[in-house]
Amino acid sequence: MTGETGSVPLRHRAFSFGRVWAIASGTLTQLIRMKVFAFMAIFAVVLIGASFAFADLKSEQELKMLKDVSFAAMQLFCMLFAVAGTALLIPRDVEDRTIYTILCKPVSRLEYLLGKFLGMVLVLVASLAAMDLLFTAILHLKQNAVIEQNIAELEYRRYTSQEDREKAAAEIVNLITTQGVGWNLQAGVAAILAKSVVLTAVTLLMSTFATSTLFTIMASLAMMVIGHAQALAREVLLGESGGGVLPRLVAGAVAILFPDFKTFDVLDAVITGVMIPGVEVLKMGGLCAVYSVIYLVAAWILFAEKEL
Amino acid sequence: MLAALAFVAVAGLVRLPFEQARARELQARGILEPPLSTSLRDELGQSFFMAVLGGFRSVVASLVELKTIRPWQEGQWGLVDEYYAVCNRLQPREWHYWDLRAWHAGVNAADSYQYETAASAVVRSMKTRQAFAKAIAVTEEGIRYNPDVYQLYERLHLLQTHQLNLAADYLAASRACARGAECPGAPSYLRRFSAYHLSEVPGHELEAWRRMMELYTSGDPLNRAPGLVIRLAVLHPKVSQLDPSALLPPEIASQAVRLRAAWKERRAAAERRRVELQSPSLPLHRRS
Repeated sequence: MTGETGSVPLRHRAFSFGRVWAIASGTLTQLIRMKVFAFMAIFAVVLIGASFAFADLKSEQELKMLKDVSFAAMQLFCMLFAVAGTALLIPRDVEDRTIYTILCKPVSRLEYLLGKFLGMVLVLVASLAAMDLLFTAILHLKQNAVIEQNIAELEYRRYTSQEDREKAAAEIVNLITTQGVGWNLQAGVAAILAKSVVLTAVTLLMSTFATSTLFTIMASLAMMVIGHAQALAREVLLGESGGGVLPRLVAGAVAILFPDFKTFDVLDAVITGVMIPGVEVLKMGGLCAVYSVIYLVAAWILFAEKEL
Repeated sequence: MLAALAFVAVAGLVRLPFEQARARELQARGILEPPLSTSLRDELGQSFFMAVLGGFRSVVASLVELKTIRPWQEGQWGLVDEYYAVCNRLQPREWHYWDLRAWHAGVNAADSYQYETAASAVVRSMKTRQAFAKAIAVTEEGIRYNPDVYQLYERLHLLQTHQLNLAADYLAASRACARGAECPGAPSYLRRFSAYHLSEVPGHELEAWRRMMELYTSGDPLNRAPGLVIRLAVLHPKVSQLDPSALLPPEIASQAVRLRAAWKERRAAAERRRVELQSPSLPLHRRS
């Protein structure tokens, strides 16, 4: 006999991934209805504009500028989106009274938080995938245009044989493709995603005790900036250069309480063409999971006691 | 609230040594840039510095590079160098910032000094010397950060042998080309250029000859370039005195006299040009 027949009720499990998924998909729909993907149009304009803007530069510079602007736009959009989107989730549910409808059912507060977090992560993955696709397509087109232009310039040079000419053309293709589309760029996209996911967890933590959405947004953005200066804080705390007690205390608080966003900053290396090994991408994923768990558990501790 | 704070703090204490070790490892491998110096705040301005702190280091470096366009057009070489120095500090592993900084500081600055009507010949040549010394120092610093980038060694040899460089150093240029040729993806001409420059250094002719013969007999058609053939013909009389077993390949020997005459003519023209550029009695635009 099953619960569907109505004769024997299903035993209630303390944690159900099905319930988390239901809340996550609801959050996804909620965010889509908020027309959050409209920023994609701005991203497209930025990207297309950047692909034409630096035509007078050397080919390596031109492609670097395009990658710089694209990655910066992706990072900016994703991080702002992670902060603003997450900051709105709980207050909007309270305002709409949806949260009471959900929590009066046999849904734990942990499931609710995880559902909200997962929903936000899904939106981040979808938007980043769309931006990545657009970026890769434009970079590919630009790369081909630069190669064609450089090879056309070869026509004005003298070569002793066809083989020499082909060798020179191959050298150009090789030089430009190292700055163009490649799997290594995906390591940069993964780093942006990891950073945004951690920021989502941090913002969710903030929103569990914040009294206003504005406070959540401002505090999360401040955490983002301070989190990028973690390396400096650790140098003050653990370095041999010394420093007073107060700077060390402040640095210690920063190093312990804030996530290290700098650890995901492989974008500079990706843009300059340094190969990021797959194992480093996996480590980034692992770190992202560790940070997310830490801040989600803290959020759960606060949210479990919160009077709604 | 306290329980949550305590949890985050304990987790932070546990992860701290791992984070520190990971950051150091990634910095050593060139994947992460070293922490920013706070002195950069004055050079970048508050908003750029915040952007860099927020993880937008690469795009800020690109924007600073764009700021060099106007001073470059106006010939403000000090300002161009200042901006590129910021780019270098932000992204020391981006070789093209070192390359362009050295090109502007050396070749472009030295060239523009030749047109300074107000300055005397002595001042112009002093500024030219300083420009090349600066550019070479910049390139060498760039090489310390990017030891495997052949383009920087290429820039170094171009600076060291530039016709405006009053202290041309062919031995250093030869070494730069040889080191560049060992870098991944380096073009084969760097090996040839290393031998060419060595042939210009008194006392190294025999070594240059051996290297050029090795290249000539390597089987690669690019290593039978006219530049290499003509240098073999020119070096042979001197080299044969040092090593009687040194023989010109027959296909070169048959046209050696013609090649030497052509070389002599070419060198005389180059020397005239060099003398004109390096000891100007009048600024360039007023010379014939």
